Amino acid sequence: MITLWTILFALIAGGILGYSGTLKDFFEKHLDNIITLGLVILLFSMGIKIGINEEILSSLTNLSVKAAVISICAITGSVLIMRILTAKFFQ
Amino acid sequence: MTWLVLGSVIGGIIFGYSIIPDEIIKQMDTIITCALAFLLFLIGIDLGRNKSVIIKIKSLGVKILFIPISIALGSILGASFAGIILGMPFNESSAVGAGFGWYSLSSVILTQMYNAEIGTLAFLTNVFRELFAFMAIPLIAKHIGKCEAIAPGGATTMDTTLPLIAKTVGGEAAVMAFINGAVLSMLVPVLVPLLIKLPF
Repeated sequence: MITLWTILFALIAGGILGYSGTLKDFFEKHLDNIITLGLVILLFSMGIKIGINEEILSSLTNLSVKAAVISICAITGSVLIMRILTAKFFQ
Repeated sequence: MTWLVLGSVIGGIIFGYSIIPDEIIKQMDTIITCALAFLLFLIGIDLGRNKSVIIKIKSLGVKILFIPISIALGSILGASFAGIILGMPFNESSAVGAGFGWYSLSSVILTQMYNAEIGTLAFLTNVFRELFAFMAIPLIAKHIGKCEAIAPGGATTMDTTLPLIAKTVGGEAAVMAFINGAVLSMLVPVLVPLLIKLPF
């Protein structure tokens, strides 16, 4: 499990490096592609964690249908309220 | 981007379920932590060289707190609506929804304070929330809007879904997403116990 300190340290260290402008052109040009590659590795690894989790796979029954309904409604609810809010405050 | 996300996650699930060696399984958490720390470092670089982002965020000021508040409200309302469909009491459905995607913490709290079934439901619901968020973020960023793309991730927008938001929405949204995730993460251990204690 990643800690808050790891997150902050990684972000701030990157921020200072980016702000200082000492990066080589190569890295600047390809940053977007490197992020995409990193994302694929992250998502693939998180997929593996789900694939090896007995609890998730074995309860793919009644409880997981409930879980899917609740998570979809929670996501939809938060997007809807966010939509109303952005229309009012962030224009 | 949505297809890349879907392909990576589903590929990982199949790989993990079928052919992965035990030695790699033991290292999964380390691999995820390293990949995430590396990505956050890159996002830091991207934000650091893009100096206009900080100025824009500063101009938003306290208004930025409207984002986590509305996501918290929307998640709890949405989850309790699901609870009505599923015939669950309000305290159970709202507490499960108040996990905001932080499955480890919400499931532990509910198992300890309430019962194992709701704890497991909170675990699954919030794993699904994270999973669905990965798929929804690129779509919402493209078709609905920047701020809305932060909403599905809930509390995970300060870590696991942050790289995807930075990639598909941009630096300004990444900073908002980080603040959003931090505030929602603080709310999980407060709201989950509070909601599950309700008598209805």
